[in-house]
Amino acid sequence: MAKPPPKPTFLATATYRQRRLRDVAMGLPVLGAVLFTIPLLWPRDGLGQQGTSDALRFLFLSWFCLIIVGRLVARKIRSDSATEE
Amino acid sequence: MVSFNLLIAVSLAYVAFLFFIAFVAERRAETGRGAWLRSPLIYTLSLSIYCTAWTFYGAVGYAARSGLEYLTIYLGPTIVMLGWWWILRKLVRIGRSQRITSIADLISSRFGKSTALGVLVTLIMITSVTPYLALQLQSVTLSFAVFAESSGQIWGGAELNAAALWVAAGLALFTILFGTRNLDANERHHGIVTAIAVEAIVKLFALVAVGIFVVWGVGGGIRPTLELIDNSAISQWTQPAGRWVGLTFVSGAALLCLPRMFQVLVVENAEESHLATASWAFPLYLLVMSLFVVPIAVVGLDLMPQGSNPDLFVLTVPLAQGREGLAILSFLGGFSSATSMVIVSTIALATMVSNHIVVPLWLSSRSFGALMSGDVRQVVLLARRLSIGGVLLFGYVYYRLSGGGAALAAIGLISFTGVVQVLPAMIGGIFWRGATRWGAVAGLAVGFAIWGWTLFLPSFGAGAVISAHVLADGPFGIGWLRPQALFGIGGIDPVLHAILWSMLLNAGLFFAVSVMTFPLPIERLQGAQFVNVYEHSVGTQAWTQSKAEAEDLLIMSQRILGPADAQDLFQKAAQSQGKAGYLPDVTPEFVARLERELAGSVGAATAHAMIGQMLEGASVTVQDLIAVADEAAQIMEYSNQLEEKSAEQERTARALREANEKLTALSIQKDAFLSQISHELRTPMTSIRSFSEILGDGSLGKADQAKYAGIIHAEALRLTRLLDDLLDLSVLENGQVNLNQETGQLSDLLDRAVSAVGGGQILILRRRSEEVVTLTTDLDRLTQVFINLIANAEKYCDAPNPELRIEVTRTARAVTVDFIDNGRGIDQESQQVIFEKFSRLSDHRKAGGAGLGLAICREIMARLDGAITYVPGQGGRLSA
Repeated sequence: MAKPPPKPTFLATATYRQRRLRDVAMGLPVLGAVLFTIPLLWPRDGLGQQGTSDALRFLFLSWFCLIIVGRLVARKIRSDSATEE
Repeated sequence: MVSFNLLIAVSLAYVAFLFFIAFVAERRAETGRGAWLRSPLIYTLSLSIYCTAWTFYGAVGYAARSGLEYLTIYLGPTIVMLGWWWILRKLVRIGRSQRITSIADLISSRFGKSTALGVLVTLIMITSVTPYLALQLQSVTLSFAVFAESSGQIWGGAELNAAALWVAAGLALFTILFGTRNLDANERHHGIVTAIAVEAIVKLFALVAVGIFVVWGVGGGIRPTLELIDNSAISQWTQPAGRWVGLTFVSGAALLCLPRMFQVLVVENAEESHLATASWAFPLYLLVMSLFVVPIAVVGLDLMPQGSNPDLFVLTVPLAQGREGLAILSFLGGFSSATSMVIVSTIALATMVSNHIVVPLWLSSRSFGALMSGDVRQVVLLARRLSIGGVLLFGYVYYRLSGGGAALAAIGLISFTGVVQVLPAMIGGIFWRGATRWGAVAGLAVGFAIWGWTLFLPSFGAGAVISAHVLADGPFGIGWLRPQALFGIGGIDPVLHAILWSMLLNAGLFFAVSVMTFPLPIERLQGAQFVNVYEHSVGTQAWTQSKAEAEDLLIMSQRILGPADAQDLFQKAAQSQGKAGYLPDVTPEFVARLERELAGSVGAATAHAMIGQMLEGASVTVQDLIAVADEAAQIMEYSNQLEEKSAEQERTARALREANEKLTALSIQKDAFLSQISHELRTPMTSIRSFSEILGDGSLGKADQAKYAGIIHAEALRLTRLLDDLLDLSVLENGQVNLNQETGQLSDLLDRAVSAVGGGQILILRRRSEEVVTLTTDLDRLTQVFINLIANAEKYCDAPNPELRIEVTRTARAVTVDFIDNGRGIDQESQQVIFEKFSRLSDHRKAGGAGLGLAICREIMARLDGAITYVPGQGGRLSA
């Protein structure tokens, strides 16, 4: 005898998503701070190394990605709930 | 060669254009057609005053000197903007709910509306920002000088100074015209914000245009430009980690603390949702602004002669390439950056100066207080206008004194470091309820002192303010107080050194003193309101039942808010108290609300002081606070009780309504039943009476006698049957029936029913194999139901060859017995009523019953936990 498929556990999907979105919004500056300090880990004062253009590319690329994520978050997040925090 | 006069004409035309834009925006906002003025786009663009002439000109110079370090100035704000959910959202919410007018107002308001703190923050801001204003004047005059030089004049000090004076005067005029139209800072400066948004576009466009020209026009594309970077003096990645992190931190913090940024971010914010858009759009703006900085620097270093000022590459590179149009565009970009920054900074500073210094001083100089004095509104406006002039004059004087020598970026960083001394008090104030005003004062004072000693004063050069001897050996030979090596730790980069020690000691003292001191009641109230701003956005209620007369308050408010607004406010308050006219009762709630409105015009501390004077010193004591809190608690409890009661009443009313409906229906039913029953009883009674009269005559023959006696007997039987049925039904309906549970076969029951009806008139079709069902129920009652149904079918089936099929089906839960005849069925409207008492669809004589049969059936089935229903197109159905 085939068992009936198990019912999905009930979750208020919309509010759950909102809470996770807030987590992303709060994590984003931390990610930014980490990304922007990564070039400091690269070898400096290395003779004959051309680090500036690499750092330039890395920083602008991560900067742009952060903006994209920030935009996604800002468009979805709702700031109106009175029960927050 | 660009004629210098042409440049002057272009810049004047540009300024006229800005005036026009500001004027149109003000007009539109006044006539209510200014919805677009309050768009997220305008908000984001207005934030671009972060990018001053320092970033427009200075960033290229910075990159030419120190490689990628200039990026920290943009990366810090990017992190803060992306983290808007943490801090900025809260600041904006507080700014709106508390009607904050400036950053000094925020700090003062948070720490118990303290005037002293407002003054302290104002002083810090003026000291830190004035050099920055001077820097803007310097950059504009330098860019003028570049053009003068290219048209053959060499500018000396006198021309530069004159140009700086003209620029400062023009900016003062613009700012006074559009910055002091409204007294209430919360009414926002639409004209200025719009002009700034236009300037933001101009400077972005100019820098991108120069960048594109440099990369594709001079450098020959992206790849060659990157190669040029690799071959330049800044090709090596030698960034000191400490400065990188330190400058990112300072510039991020400065975004929150700079008076002009606070003005556009918080005070001019029209809607919280705009912040969400700006959180990604402003970093994007910064990214584009900084994208071409390194290429311009590298190409400038490559093209320009040794020793030329890299701060002006944005101008000089296009000029040297003969691109005069581009150079003028670039000039306008730099001009926009400088002017927009100066205008907003000046407004922000002037608001602070007038609200926290001038008006409190003026108030305290009047012995009679606000009531007896002249028009406060005019005084505040005048104070603000004078402050604008004063701030710009101060900037000009600083420019003259400093001689415009130091590199642009250095002044910018000094200014940033001074401004962020407010950060611990601000962040502590909005996230930590334990922060006290003494902690704030201690942190601010120490941080400010360290900044002045280690960074600001030495910035004038060795020997200018601090002698070379003190720089090297410390004051009075105390080595550990050396300005650039506090506590004997030398060798740190001076800026980093100042940031480190000032922030550490500032935050440390703020915390330590806050923990050790005890806050005033009003501080605790304000603290709770700031820290828990999301939970309750209502104002403080800190005034007692006051001695002030409403009329006096109205007179004072008119002077600050203007007659129309003040009267409107009072009238609304009176209305909400249920009074007619303009004068409400002076309740604590009303006074608190009035104070908040006034705070929007003159700042929280001043508003508090003015109302304090009106109330003759009847301001807050702990007892008052407790009284107010008690009152609030009582009101809340009372309203809870009321709510509960009204809910209960609602419930009762609903129950009553339902009961009434039921009673009405029952009464109607009873009436119908009585008239029905009397009719039913009357008919046989009439025939019995009349036939018995005939019999009593005695003149009848034997045959007739027997016939009439038969009729009387039949009618009596009918009556008995009717009464039996009624009795039966009433017993069933009252639920007094005793069920006699037995076990039997369904087929036996049906047999009994069919034989009881005895019907020869209808053909009964059964399938005995289906009927093998064992039942445990009241068999007699069930049989009664079957008999009724079969009898009904026999009586009413109108087919020529009537037949009745009895079908039995079993399901898991029930047994269904269908009685299906081949008649034409029952009309739709009658289907509803066939199970009601006395409902008969045709001539009742033919039926020979009272119309109670099916009603009894229904009752019986209900008692036996079954049901009887009519299935259209089939016949009766019952299930048990």
